[in-house]
Amino acid sequence: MSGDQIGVFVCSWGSGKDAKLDMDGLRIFAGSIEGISLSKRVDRICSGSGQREMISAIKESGIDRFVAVACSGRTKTRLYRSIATSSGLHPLAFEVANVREQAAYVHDAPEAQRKAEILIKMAVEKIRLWTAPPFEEEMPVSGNVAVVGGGLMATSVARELIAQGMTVDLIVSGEASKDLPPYIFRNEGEKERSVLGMSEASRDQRLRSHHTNVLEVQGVPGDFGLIMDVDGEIVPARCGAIVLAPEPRMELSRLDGSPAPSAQDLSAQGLRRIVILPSGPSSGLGCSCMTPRGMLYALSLVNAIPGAEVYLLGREVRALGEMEGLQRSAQEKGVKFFRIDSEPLVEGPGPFTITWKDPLVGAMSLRADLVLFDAVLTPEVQAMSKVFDVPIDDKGELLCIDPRLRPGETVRKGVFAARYRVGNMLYEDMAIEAGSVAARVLEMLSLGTMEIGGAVAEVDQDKCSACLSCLRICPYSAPIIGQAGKAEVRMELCQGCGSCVALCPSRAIDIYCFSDSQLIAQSRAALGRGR
Amino acid sequence: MMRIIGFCCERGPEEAVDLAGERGMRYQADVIFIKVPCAGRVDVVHLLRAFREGADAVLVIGCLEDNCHHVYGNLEARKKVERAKQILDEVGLGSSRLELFHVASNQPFRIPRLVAEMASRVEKLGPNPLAVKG
Repeated sequence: MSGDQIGVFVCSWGSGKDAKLDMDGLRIFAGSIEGISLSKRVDRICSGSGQREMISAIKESGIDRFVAVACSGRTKTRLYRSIATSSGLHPLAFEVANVREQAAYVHDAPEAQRKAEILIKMAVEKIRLWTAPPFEEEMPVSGNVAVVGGGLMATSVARELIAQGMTVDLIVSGEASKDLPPYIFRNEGEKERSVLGMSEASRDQRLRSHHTNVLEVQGVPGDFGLIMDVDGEIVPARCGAIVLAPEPRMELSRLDGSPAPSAQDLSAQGLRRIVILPSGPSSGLGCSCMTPRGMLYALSLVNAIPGAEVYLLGREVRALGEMEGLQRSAQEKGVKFFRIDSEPLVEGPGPFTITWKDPLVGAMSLRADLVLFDAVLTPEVQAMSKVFDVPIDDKGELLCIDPRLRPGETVRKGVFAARYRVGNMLYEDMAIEAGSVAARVLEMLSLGTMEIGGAVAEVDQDKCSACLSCLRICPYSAPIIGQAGKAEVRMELCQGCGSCVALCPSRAIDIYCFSDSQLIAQSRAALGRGR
Repeated sequence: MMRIIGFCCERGPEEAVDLAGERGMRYQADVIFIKVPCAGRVDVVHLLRAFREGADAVLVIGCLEDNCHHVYGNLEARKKVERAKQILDEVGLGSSRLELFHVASNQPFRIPRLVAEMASRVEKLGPNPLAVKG
């Protein structure tokens, strides 16, 4: 440890609110910490001249890691990384002491100075214990993407990817749809083009389509190998990323799952009072909204059957943009919309009694001749979940980590899911979802290389007792039991959350850049204890 | 002067802390945040160790429940914090010196509040009796 050379660079930006910190004082303080071989002020690290100054100082002094005393490192990580690389250091050989947002801006002068000193001490103690993590900046990735699913979502994603210069293997397991599923509202003009039919897609040179099932996935993100079964023959395919786009059946169905009857049938059967509920316990997924699909159906009934009464129940009306007009005309025609607070109770084999709780009025009930569910069914999800090792969430969809912040990303790195649930999928929603998933894929593959390693977990094989805790806890399936019968964390899958490190009962796992010893050293420094 | 350690997830919570600074919010200088990759990284050892080294209070800040960047790291953190609280009660330090909070990146206003909350708890309980010089 003693051979390590640590440098501290104090950014001088001081003006206005920042002026309460005595930056030169901080430089002197940093220089006084044991083992610091360089403490230097730099005129704005974020400026080109500042960076050049740092690079030449690092080269001259021979330090092998540094602490930047500056503002929030959140936006500057790339910058520090490039400074480190250009000066011949490991790209992650730095630590940031954020003395701006966490000291100068939030505390008064003497306290801010004291806290800034603590933050610097903490960063120094942390970087002192840093060991160079395995890191590959430019692992080559394949520009080919496998899109699994034969529906419009799959073809839309394929279209987006091809438009961005990728090539696509479209793998259709079920029967490819020839047209839009029923009850999808068609828009005129521009938006029509965002969705590509199968026949159109198959004419494109950059797209190869296979009518088959994927048997197995091998390889690592960026370079997957798919094993497919084509007419009894095993065919491999290489791809950088995989997009799962299970084809939905979006439809109104009866309680028993059979499709909703047409207006003529209803009229013939003399059914007049119809209630449309959001997806129910027996009807698969969907959101709890009143959708344009339901409204269109309701309109078709009130237009065709004199005296028909149609009720839509749901948590809220989902009618964006031009769909608002649809809702208005449904309302004008006498379709009733009711808000529900929880899943409504449906009684009777028909006529039915539906009871529910309105958030404003309280308990409500309604009698109906027919109850329909407005649901999205994705029958392929189960099989996909198994082959691609993507868990299913509580709604029966492929589990995405965060539909808002990481759209389309599943817990398997490199495996994306284009899902229909994001608002009860309409035609435009699908184009948007397809676009956002394609964008995530491009983010990963478009550079032709990707980074692996960094702050990843590593198992000390001598300590591992193969208890499988890490295999169970890891959301990304990164740990496996290796040849030696001990756990190994696959670096290319690890995303560095550290859950396995905290869980391991043998304390056999540690994580680079956030090791146990580093965290403890930081808290000791924060509490004014020595090394 | 009291000493509070805050283990802070580098996703939403750290963003909130930085944003609190950016917005010029004020909070006690007694709190020092330590960045972790996910609240799930924090182990009972880190929490208890901080108390042994003399922290008067420790807080763990994770992302909102169901919104963890690493799927369920913040739920893991809850288990760890609960276990540590149990131990704190057993040894007589008092479990209220330790708390888990969930903060989203757009909730910087909560940072001063939860720091104040911990500070007021310490005021009630007095300084950490384990704090030894040296």
